[in-house]
Amino acid sequence: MKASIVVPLNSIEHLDSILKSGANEVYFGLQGSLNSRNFSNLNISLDDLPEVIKKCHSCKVKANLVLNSFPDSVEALASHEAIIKKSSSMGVDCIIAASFSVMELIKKIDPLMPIHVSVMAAISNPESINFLADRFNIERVIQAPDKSIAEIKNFRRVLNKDISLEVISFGTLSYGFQGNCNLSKFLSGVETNTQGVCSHPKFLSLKKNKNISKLYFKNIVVGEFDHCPKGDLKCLNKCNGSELLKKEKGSGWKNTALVNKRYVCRGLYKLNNKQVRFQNYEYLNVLPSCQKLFDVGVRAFKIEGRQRPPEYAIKVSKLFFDSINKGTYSKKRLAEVEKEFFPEMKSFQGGLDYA
Amino acid sequence: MPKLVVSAPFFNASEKNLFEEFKILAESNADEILLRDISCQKREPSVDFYKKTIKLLHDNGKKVILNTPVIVRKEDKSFNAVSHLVDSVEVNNIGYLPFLKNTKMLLGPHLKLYNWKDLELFDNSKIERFVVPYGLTKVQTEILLHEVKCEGEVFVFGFEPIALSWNCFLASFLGKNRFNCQKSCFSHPSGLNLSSLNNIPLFKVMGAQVFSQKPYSVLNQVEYLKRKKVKYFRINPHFVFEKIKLGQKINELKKIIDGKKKCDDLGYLEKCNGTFFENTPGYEYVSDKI
Repeated sequence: MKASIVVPLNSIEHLDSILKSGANEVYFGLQGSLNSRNFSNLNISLDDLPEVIKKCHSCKVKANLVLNSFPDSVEALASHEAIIKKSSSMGVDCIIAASFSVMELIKKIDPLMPIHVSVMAAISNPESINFLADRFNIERVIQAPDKSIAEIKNFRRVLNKDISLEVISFGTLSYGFQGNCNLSKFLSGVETNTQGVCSHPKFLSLKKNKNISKLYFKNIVVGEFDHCPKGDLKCLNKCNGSELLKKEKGSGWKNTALVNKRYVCRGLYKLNNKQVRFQNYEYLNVLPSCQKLFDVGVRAFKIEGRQRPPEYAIKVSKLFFDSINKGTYSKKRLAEVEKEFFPEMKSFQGGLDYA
Repeated sequence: MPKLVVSAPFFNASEKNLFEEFKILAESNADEILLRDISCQKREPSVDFYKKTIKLLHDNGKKVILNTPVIVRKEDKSFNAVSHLVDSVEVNNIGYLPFLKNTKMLLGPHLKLYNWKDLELFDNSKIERFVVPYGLTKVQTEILLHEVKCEGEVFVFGFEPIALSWNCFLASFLGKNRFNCQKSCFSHPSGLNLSSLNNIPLFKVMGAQVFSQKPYSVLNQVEYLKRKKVKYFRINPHFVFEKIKLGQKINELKKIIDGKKKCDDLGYLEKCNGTFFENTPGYEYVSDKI
């Protein structure tokens, strides 16, 4: 099976380890609001970009720049334009974009720069991609894991044959149709599409009352814990979860338990008198179906998780490397990943599980 | 003259009930009517229903807009069968563009067009107007309306679309998914209302789409928007009012749009959401701001 493993990179310190993990491509955003994960300490600085590209290329790994926010002003367009010029001259291998205007800018600045259509573009049908491909240098389309095998097969059949198909294959999964989800904004007032701010930890606070800690997203209670979100009852009594929250706010990505909660779409709400979530407490894992996906035309497997610690990217990349190159993967290593990064969550395969 | 554009009813109802609701819209003072609920292809009415409804609306002097789904998973037979019968098509998915032929188009709110350059993708000669995406602030709206060369339309009242799901939110709440949903949304015609754990009303789940649980309103901004050359004002009044009063309420809203009545004359604006526009969380109430 000749397919790419596309791995998140959220800090230059761990680039060397990620490059040895079996990744064929890494994807990363730049600090600021130009991508949909605008979290502090999460992205690559522009100063570090040449080194990231150089190291990737020395390992024959592609460096994919995520530029998938939607510019909403002349100033924002100018910022995108400046970054496209710089990153193009530095040698990024492709730009992952969602906005039509960003695609226009890429075409104007570097007509040969391959564009990967971000899942944030919310394009789920091949006719739309083909329409874009007539205008821009579209190399690949990234799809949410919403489709059954039959649907992917049909999608591939209709899709322009020069365009490669990438599927989000592992990680936390939102049921929201990306690019069309204002759930976080509805509670915070801050835009996801234009500011890259979705379920941002800066809006979180914890308040303890007797043995219950309540997790607030601004003024909205989105969770209640009778134990520390780390899973340790004793810890809650000592720390009220506040240490954990402090880390979360500071790093934007170092804590797993709260990333899994995702605060808004995985938060708890009341439906009549029942507590419900927008989606089941599940994480996405298509490892068991890599071959089937390849057979119907998927050529790149994206590991979701720019908000997660680098060890996550390294471990999951290795799992996919084995699955794709050896046709198998270590169930023991998968169990370790599950325990470490998705405690209490069930594994599921998105649309593949449903039909 | 400003124009009042009314969304289609939610399609989680029988064709008979939907037709009754369209009849109310046809007999109201609304200027233009959107023909479809764009959130789910599985609950589409029949082509005959569309033909009958288009005739009804035309007979009552309404302009009919065929809006396209956002998530397209199968051939859109309704589009193919009736797009030549309507006055305009609202595009919410660019896959439809090659099929428009000579039809004028509205650039729909789900296209995520946030700046003038986004519009370069489209054939200028076919653009009738541009519908501002949902949830923008006043500043964003003003910049957009200033930048784009075509006419603008703004959503000003009703349950505001907040999110779409690739899976179906409502089915998921019922332990199902989009493949085996059995159209369970039909059993919950007015949706599922979700509140926060601290009892703040937040969301109305209407199938694959989530709306604000309280009606959104920026009716107090209509005169301001008119000064920004907005001529088209969209409302989504379904379920905000009892069906029996729907026509009367649409006519009242038309008077506000026309500047013949002030929005604070209308008691039902109490406890509306509307603060996206004010750059604060969307769920917050605006009753004190109107």
